Amino acid sequence: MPLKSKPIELEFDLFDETLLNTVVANYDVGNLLEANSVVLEGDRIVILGEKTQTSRKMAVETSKGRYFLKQIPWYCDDLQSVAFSHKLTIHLAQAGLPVPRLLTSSSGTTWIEIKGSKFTLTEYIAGNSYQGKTAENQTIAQTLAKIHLAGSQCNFDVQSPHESLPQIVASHINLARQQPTCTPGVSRILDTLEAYCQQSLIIPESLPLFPVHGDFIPWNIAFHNNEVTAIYDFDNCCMDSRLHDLGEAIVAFFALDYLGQSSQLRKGIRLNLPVKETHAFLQNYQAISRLSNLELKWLPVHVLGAWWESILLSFIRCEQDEHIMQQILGLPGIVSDWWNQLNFTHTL
Amino acid sequence: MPQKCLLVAGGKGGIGKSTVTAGLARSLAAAGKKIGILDADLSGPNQSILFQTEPLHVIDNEIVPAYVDGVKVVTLGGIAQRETALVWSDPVIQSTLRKLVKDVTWGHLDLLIIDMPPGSGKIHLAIHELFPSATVLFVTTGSPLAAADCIRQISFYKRLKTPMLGILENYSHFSCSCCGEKQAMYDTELVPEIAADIGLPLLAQLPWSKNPADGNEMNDLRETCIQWLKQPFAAER
Repeated sequence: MPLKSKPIELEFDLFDETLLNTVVANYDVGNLLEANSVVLEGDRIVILGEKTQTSRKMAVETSKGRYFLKQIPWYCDDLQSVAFSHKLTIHLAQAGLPVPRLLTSSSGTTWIEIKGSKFTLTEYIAGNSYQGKTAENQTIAQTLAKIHLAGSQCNFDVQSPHESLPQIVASHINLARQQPTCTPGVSRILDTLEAYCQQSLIIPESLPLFPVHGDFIPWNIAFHNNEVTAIYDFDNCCMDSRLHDLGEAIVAFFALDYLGQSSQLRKGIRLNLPVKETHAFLQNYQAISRLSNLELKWLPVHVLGAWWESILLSFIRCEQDEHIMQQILGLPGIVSDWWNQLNFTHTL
Repeated sequence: MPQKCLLVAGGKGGIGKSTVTAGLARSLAAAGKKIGILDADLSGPNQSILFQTEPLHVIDNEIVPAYVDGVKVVTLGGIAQRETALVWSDPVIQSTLRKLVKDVTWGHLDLLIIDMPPGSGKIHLAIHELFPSATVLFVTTGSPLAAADCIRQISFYKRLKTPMLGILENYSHFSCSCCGEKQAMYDTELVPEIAADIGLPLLAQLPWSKNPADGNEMNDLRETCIQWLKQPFAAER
């Protein structure tokens, strides 16, 4: 899920021909034939440039094949983050997971820098967007578990960027306060939420650490015949509890509705979680890798944090009005009820 | 890929190219013709509003046009949010238009009508490359500004050696809601003079209307198009 202070306004800084040719010239991919910002993804048309407000993306056809060109988002393009992310991406691809292969530039790096922005070129993997099918949810959960397991075998020679759930929520609260739509009423809600987070949203350091994706949401995953064909955007990955990804996935896959537009995939946020579906999701994850009792104990807190983050982000992006903010303080009770209904400890 | 193609152009924005496109397409479809619309106004794709289309679907890597009132419509409107600014860099304009033309299950069409954007730029050149044998219909109003832009647009298509069907004067008049009297909106002589000077037929003078296809005023243009469609395809001549 998007992190920290992403820019709210879209900057119209597009790929021009000079930039495209410079990128292609830095890789052994032949001559540039065509650049596409409109691609057919499964059953829909996607305008790549409108899919995100943080980085430029484009499908590139060259005489040697089709590739995906992407600008690394500005908020995670420091060398440490890039090195960690690329180490994990390469490791997972080599381990046989559906992660697009990063191409190496002529100077031996997995990225190139042009005019202060960093770019990657990866293989292009076609696939459908998420449609909310039960079979898709099953493979998503299992793939996530496989990523965590395979990632834990990676020997990182670079330090992990660090980002904790309480930090993420706190930064979203601060961003929400800066919005022109932040009325005195919303401001009071944010004050209460902040106090609650400082008191209760505390994650124990004893939780085991894994390399986590950090943005495990439907529009970073492609499918074919309900199987995951590609997982994109490891830009936010870091060492953290795997509950970071699990909490985010449960909210993103089960509490958000999808619009299907390329500029706004999220239609709305529901304030309930389907018990049967989320139970199956966790079962499928655990079919590959069991969560410890300590992890299970702290999963609801991660779901709560991810839910808050998602609602705050919607408010920041003006996708939601004040109404949903008024209900944000009721989420701990909703998560608690959901977790009790899930009755998960008894099924282990 | 459709063969017979009519560009609806005019140079100026807001002169009714899109509504004329939609009205003419509906009128021709009602007369039994198989009509497609390509919304080439990539930054202001309004055909999705005029035809109230859902976002287009893709089946087997081919775009399925929306099918409304007997017209097949391909537009990027509805794919992005209505408030999203659609900004296109030069390298992708041609590839995007090619996709919207070639990766589409058009089926048999008697005519593809292309709703062109204002101005004379990359999109116009890209469409010319895709449809070198297209014919152009100019839409303008009696406003001196619109007329000036239309003259430039005609000059542009002359350089491209594009066949020209004629000029349509849009928003030429309106009927007073009180007395029904026909009242001119602009200088009534300007567009006929331009047409005469350039040697193009003035095909119709449409009134201000919420929906041009609703009135009989579109009939003349429709009949002109039907007669034109009977002519051999330009590439075969």
